[in-house]
Amino acid sequence: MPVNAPPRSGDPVLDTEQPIAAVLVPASGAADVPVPHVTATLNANGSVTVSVVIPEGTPPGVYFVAIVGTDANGNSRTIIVPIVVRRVVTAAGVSAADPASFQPAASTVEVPASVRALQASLSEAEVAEAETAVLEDGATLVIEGERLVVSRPSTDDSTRPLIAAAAVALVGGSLIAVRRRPATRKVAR
Amino acid sequence: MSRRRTALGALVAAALVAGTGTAGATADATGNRLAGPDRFSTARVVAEQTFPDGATVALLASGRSFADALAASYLSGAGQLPLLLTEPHGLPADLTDTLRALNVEGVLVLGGTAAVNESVVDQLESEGFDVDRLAGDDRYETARRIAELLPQDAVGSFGAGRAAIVATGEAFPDALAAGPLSASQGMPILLTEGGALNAHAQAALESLDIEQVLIAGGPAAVSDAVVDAIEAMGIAVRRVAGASRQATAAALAEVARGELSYPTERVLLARGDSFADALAGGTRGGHLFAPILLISAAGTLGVDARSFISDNAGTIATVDALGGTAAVSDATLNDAVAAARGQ
Repeated sequence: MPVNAPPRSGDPVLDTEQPIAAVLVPASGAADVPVPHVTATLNANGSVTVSVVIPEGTPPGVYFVAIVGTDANGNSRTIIVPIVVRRVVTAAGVSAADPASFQPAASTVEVPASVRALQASLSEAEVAEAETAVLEDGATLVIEGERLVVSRPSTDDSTRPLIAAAAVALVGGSLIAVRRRPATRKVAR
Repeated sequence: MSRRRTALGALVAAALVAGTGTAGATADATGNRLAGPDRFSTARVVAEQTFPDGATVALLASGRSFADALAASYLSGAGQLPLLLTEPHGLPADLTDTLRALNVEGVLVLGGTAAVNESVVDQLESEGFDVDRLAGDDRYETARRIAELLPQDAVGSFGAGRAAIVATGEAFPDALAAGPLSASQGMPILLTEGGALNAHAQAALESLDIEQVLIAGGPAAVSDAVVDAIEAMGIAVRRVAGASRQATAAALAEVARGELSYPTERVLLARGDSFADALAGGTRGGHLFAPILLISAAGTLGVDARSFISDNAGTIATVDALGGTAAVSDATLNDAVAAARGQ
């Protein structure tokens, strides 16, 4: 039986009791970046959620997160998850049983001083609008130069720096963005 | 580069769960055509049908040459990435719409600027996609860089251990038929000239600590001198070949079914004398654990494809035709479906 035989539903993926490591692989072929913080959680339905924190200062671009662990049969298993690093901070906690659901999670990134200065001028209405934009409309936050931009899927060209700054304020000083589609991947090996 | 963005950091969470979506065996086989008006559209249809949940990153290769797209199977399988095709000097119409429909945020271009010009990168970036390029100086080095991109642990096992596929870079059929195996099993495809082991292929075999090589194709495609050179590196070699490109594809399909536990509920039909509509087949075949069978001509199923299908009649539920009727005629598709029904 080959190690990489196609998995059947219910096959173990990763043993959370064993060490799990991760490395960030730039798609351009540049040197790999170690990922120091990796956590794995066994969900009630038997799936495993692995969270990694991408190091601050990682250049933008296409990357592969290579997660190396051990499956329940004791075989080494490597999971490859493609990501795109942008100025947007993306977070998604995903339930495999209900992939459509997600919970936003704050990153460890500090809000720049220039953004904090913007926050001081915001009204409550602007804060409320930002909350709707980010948490309900699937908008994303982008830092361009010294300003923040919020982009709704339906109006990609809209630039609303003050509202984006308000959204940052909503999460208590941690930069956060939410996207609709969770980072869920079936394991095909 | 107008919309390049700088990273501050990110937290990524991925729920990992096994599952292939396999269905029970059935004798009521059906045909499924994946086709657009041209090779680029066909690749888009393949991507959309293969990755209905979308993908964060897509691969992009030239649709006018075969090498980079075929070597892409390994990356596509490892990262569950759709493969799309482009003209060398400009994006095909509607490609960015497809990328958006798939929820793609980043694009990895495979191949150098001769294969995919920088103007294509500029177009993508102007549309808001993050773009990177992975390339070597020629097709052999590009295949090597694809193989070496991911950590060694990502390479799958077969036979004697950590495994790679070696195929000729001078013709497409064998690497095409090997695509599903590469994608599903994590075996990189390394390209070589037929007469001697290419230096980049050799370097990748060393750097990845490959223990088993599958040679796709007969001695006319990959000579025994190549086999000898690989064996001299202390690597076990197994040649999977038939008397023709169609027979080689059927032999690879048999390896997939018999030794890699492919459920063989689906097979892909591709034209064996033209790669235009088949380039994305490896990604689909790997994703769905479906082997690629090469037909003799658009209007002829051929004895090798027919034999494999007939041998698996009652198990094969779906026969995919890659491309329009100019690639796989309706009669050929119907013929294959009938064979899958045991007729």
